[in-house]
Amino acid sequence: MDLNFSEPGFLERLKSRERNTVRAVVDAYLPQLLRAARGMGFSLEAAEDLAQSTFLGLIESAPNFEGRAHIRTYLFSIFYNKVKEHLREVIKIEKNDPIDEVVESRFDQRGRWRRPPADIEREIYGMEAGKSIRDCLGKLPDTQRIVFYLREVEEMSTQEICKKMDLSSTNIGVILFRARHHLRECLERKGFRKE
Amino acid sequence: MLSCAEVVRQIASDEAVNASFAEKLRLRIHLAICKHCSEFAWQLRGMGKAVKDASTAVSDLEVVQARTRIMDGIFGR
Repeated sequence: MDLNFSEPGFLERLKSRERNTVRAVVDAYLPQLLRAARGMGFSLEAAEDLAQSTFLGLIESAPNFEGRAHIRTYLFSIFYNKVKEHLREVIKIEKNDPIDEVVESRFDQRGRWRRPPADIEREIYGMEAGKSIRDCLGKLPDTQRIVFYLREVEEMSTQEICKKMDLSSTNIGVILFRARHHLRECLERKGFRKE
Repeated sequence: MLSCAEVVRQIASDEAVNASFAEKLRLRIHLAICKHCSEFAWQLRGMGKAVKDASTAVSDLEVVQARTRIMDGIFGR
């Protein structure tokens, strides 16, 4: 079924939970929502719950929508709010993360490389590396994975992440620093080296 | 001259992205002459790309199953 979301009456039908209208919105945006939630490390079940409460949020707030923004933008702002609520529950910005020491040990006192990064095989960034990367991502703390995902996959700027997730830019810097070092060290340990 | 540790910190924390013109220039000069730091920077860029490719896997079956449950949830079956 092809529905024009900007057509008058659409919001009315959404608000009154007209089945075909709801179905059309779910059809159009569920794959994107699930991908985003899975990418942030939510289990399939949690991703589904998150998507459902996002659609419910859209239906309930349809009267306030007024077609100002694109429906996708509006839907995702509801989604990011839910992610923010989750983040607030799990957030942990430890004073020290063990990775800080690992990074430190790679430099001498004057800040020169003591143990430079091992050359990584360029093919690692090809297809079959997917599993290793998912393994390494899976080991990241929730907070780091969510922020890293927003930055690298959704390509949000630090400022956008600040706004959407209600975090300071200093905290985002610390979180990104740790996430990237964790991942890089993890991939290096998996033996991706140029011969 | 920036130290390697400082360059790595700025790149990994995204400070480099939001730096002033002069700071970016200093960073670029360092990267142009430092093999290890430029390898590090290259790896982080590649990692971002790889994560993008790796994290998009949700199967059609998973979507269909989720859709059925979500519709049931919304319409309270």
